[in-house]
Amino acid sequence: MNIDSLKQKKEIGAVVFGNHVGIIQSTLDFDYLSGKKRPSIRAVIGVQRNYLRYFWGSKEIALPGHVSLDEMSKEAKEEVDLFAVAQSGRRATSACEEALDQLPNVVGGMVFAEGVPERSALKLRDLAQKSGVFILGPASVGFLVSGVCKIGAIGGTLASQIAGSGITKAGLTAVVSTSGGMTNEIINVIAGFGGSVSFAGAVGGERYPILGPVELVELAINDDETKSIVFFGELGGRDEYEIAQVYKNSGTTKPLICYIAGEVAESFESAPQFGHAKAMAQSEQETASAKKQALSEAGAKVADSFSHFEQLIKNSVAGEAKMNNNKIMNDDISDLENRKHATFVNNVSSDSGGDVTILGKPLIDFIENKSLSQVALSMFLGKEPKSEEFARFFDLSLRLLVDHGPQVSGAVNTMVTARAGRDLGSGLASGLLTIGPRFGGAINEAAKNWLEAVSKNENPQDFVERFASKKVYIAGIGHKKYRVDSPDPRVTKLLSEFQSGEYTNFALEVQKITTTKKAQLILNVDGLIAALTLDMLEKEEGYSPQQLSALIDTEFFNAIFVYARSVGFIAHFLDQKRQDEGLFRLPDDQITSLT
Amino acid sequence: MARVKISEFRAKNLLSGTLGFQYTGVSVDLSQDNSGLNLTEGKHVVKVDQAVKKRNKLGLVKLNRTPGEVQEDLKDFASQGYSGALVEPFFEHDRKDEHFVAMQLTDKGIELQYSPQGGVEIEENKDSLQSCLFSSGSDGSSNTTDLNTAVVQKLFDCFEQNQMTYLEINPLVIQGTLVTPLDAAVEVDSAEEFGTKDWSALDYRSPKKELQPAEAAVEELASKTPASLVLKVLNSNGNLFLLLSGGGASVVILDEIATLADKDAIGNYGEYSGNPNEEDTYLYTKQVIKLMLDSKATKKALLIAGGVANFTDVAKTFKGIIRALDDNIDQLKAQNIHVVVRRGGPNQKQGLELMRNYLQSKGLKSQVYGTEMSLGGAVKSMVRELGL
Repeated sequence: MNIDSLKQKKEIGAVVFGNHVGIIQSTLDFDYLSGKKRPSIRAVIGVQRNYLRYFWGSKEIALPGHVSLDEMSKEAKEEVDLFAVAQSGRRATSACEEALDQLPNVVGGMVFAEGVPERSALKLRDLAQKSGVFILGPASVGFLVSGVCKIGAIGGTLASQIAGSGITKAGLTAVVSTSGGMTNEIINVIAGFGGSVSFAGAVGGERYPILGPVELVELAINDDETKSIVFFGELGGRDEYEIAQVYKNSGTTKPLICYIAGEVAESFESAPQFGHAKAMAQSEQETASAKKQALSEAGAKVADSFSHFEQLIKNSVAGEAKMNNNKIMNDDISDLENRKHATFVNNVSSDSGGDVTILGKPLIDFIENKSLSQVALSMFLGKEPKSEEFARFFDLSLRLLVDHGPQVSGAVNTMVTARAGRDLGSGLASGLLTIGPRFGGAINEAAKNWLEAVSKNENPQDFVERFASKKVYIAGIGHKKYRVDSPDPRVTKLLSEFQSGEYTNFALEVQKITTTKKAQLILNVDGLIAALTLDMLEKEEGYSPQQLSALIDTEFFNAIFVYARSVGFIAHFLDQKRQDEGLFRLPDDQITSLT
Repeated sequence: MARVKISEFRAKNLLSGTLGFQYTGVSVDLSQDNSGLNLTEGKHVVKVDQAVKKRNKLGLVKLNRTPGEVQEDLKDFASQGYSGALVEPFFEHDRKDEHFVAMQLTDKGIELQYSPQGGVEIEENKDSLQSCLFSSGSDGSSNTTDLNTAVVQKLFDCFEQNQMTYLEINPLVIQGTLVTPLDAAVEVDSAEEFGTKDWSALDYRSPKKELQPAEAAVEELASKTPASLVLKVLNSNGNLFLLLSGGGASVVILDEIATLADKDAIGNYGEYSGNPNEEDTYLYTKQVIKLMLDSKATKKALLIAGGVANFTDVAKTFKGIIRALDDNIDQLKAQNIHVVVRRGGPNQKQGLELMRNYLQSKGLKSQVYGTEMSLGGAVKSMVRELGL
C-alpha cells in the first residue's frame, strides 16, 4: 500500500456509492477546510436522482447522481482515485467490483456496511490484492490523509469536529485502528495533546478485514511524514502477531504505541461476545494479553490501561506540542455552521442586483445572434444545443405546430373566452388548459413509448400487440382527419427535411402495422416530432437513454406543442377581440338529450 | 452477529441432501407438551439441540432409550431450562467405524481436519488428526487426508452451498458406502441469510438456557431497529451499570473498570450505537436502569459513556436517556445512585448541557464530562467517587 501518489496529486477525485449525507458532506467540508479548489467527490453512485444538493463551504452545489458507474463519462472516471461504499452489506461486494472494474486509476476505497458475508469479504480481499487497490472494511469508518483526502466518516461528520481535530493539515502521527469510534477518539486525544495526525485508517471490526491493520502499520513505517504510530487493536484474530513481526523486522525507530482492548474477557470463565464481530478470543493466542505480550517483545510501547495509552500518546507528541504552543490551530468554520438548503434551485436564470443572466450568460450576450426558437430551445433544455440541425428541426416543428385551424378544441375555448369579455391571460389559459392526451399533449407520452420500445429492442409487432391487448390507444398514432391515402402535410414535410434515426424508423414500422388495421391509424405529427426529437437528441446532442428518460420526466417534449400553439391561441384571442361579436351562446339545436 | 450456530436438526437435514442418507430425526420444542410425540418402536437417542458444548459430559445426550424413556428425558431437559431437543433412532454400529471430520472457513481457504479415530475420545487422539487446506477456487478433489475423496467432495459441496463457516461431525460412521453423521455441529454466516433457502434465522441456536428478561427485551428491541443495541447481564448484584456506546469504546471502558476496580463490580455489558433514535434509547435505558435498581449492591453508579461518536447524535440519545432517568427518579434518589457521563460526537455540547442541567435539577450526584476528560479519567472518577 502506498499513498505517495495521493499526496502528489493536485486534485483528488472520489465517488461515493449510496447517498450517505454524513459521509459525503463531511468529506466536502474536509476538502473545503483543507483549502482545496474543488470538491473531491465527483459523483454519487447507486441513486435515481440526477443530482444531489450539498454544500461547498457555505455555497450550495449539485453533485451528479448516477444509477451506476456506466453513466459516468470516461474522462470523469479517469479522474477518480478513491471510492467509498455507503450502501448495505449485500450491495457492498458488487459496488467494489464495479469500482475496480470501471475506474482505471483508482488506488483505494472503503466499505462502511456491516454484515458483508465472510466469503464476499475474502473474495474482495483477493480482488484488492490482485489489482493493487487498498480497500478498508467491511464496517470501516474510512481512511484519511491529513490535508490530502478523506473517504468515509473518519475524523468526524461535523465541520466543527473536522476543524477541531487538525486533520486538514499534514501531521506526524499515524493512527491505525480496528474500531471506528476509537479512531475518532484517538484523533481527538492526539489533537488534545497538541499533536497532529499524518494519516488514519479504521480497518473495521469484522472477522476478515479486506485490508489488514498490518498493512497500515507497514505504510506508517515507510511513510516519510509519519514519525510515530498509534495502534488500537482488540482481542480476537492474530493480526497483532504480524504487526509485531513487521515492526521488529523493519528496525524502524518510530515508536509504535499500542492498546489492545478486551483483557477484561479473560477474567470471565465464559466471556460473552464483547463489541465487534471479531472480538472473541478463539484460543489463548487470540487473547488481548497474549497479543500485548507479543507486541511488547517486538519493541512496541504497549499500554497497560487506556489512561496509560493516553499518557504514552501525550509523551510521544510532546515535542510537536511544544512547537505548536500546545494547541492545534483551529480552522475558521463560521461559514460552515447554520447552513440551510435554499427553498428553490434555479438553473435557468439569475438576477443579482439587476444583472440578469440566462444559463450563466448575461442576458444581452445570451440572446445575441439567436432566433427566438434558438433561445427557447436552449432555455427548455437547460443548455445550449450543440447542433445546428437540431435547432433547425426545433424551429420547423414550432412553425408547423403554430396553428391548425379554429375548429380544434383549444382554439374554440380561447375564442369563447375572448367573446365572454375576459382578458388575454384568461383567453390563452383556457386554450392551454385544453391541451392534454387527446389534443396536442401526446408528444411526451409518444416519446416515452418510442424510447422504452427501442431501449428494450422490442419488436414493432409485439409493441402494437402490447397496446391492443390492453385496449389502449398508442400515443402519437392516429388522426381524426388524415389517413394513409391523405397524409398530414406536416408529417410529410418533416420526413422530407430530416433524416430518421432508430426511433423514427421504429415509429414508421409501427405505422405500417397499425394502418393495415385502420387507415386512420397513421403516425401523427405528435408521434413523429417525438421520434425525431429523440433521434436528434441522441445523434446530434449525445444524450444517453437515461438522459432522454430524464428529459421525458420533465415533460420537455410537450413543451414544443404548448409553446408553438400559444401563438395560435393568442392570435385567435386578438382576432375575436377585433370582431367584438359579443357573448357566445351555443344555439339550442346544438344540444340534445338521450334520456 | 456473523457466525451463528444452527440446530443439529437443520445441520443433519442439510447433510442428508449431499451425503445421501435418509434423515428421520425429530426436532422437539421443550416448551410444549410432547406427550403425544409419535415415535417408532425401538431404541432412540435424545439430546439437547441448543449448541451446548460438551453435551456428553453434561449428560445432555441419552443413548439407547425406549419411547417411554424418551418422554422422561424430554421432561428432564425441560426442567433444566432447555428449550430445544432432538430425538433420533438409535444407530447400532461398531466403535471402530467412528471417524472425526471438521471443516472451517479461514482466510486461507477451507481447512479440513480428519481422524480415523473419531468418537468421544477425540481429544485424547489428537495426534491422529490429519489436515488439508483447500485454497479458494479449489474443491474437494485436492484432498490429501485418508478420508475417501468422494465423501470429502460431498462435505465440501454441502459446506459451500450452505454458507457454512464451521462443520464438525463426530462421529461420522462409515460402513462401506454408507456414511452417517451421528453428531453434527454447524455454524453458518448469518450475513448470507437473505440469499439462502435451506436454512433461516429460525434455525439459529444459542447455548444460553434462558435469557434474562432485560436481555430478552433488548434483543426484541434490537430486532426492530437499524441501530445496534446489545445488553448482557454480568452480575445482577453488581455496583456499576453501564450505558456505553460503540463496539470499541465499550470494551475499553470495561477494561478500565476491571483494572481499577474489580470485574465483579460490573453489573452489565452493553452498547448502543449506529444512531438509535430517542425512543429506542429510552427503551434501552429503561432496561439498564431496572437492572441497576434491582441490584442488591449498596454502592451503585450509572456510567453513561462513549468515545467521540461518528454518527450517533448525542443530544437526541441523551434526551431518551433523560426520559428513562425521569421515569425512575424517586428510586434513583432513594438508592443514592451516582451518575457519571463522558461523551463526544454530533451535538455533543447541547447533549451534555441537557444532561448536566437535568441531573443537577434533580439533585443526583453526578459528573458530566465532554471530550476534555479522557475515557480513562471518567472511569477513574466514577470508581473513586464510589469508593470501590
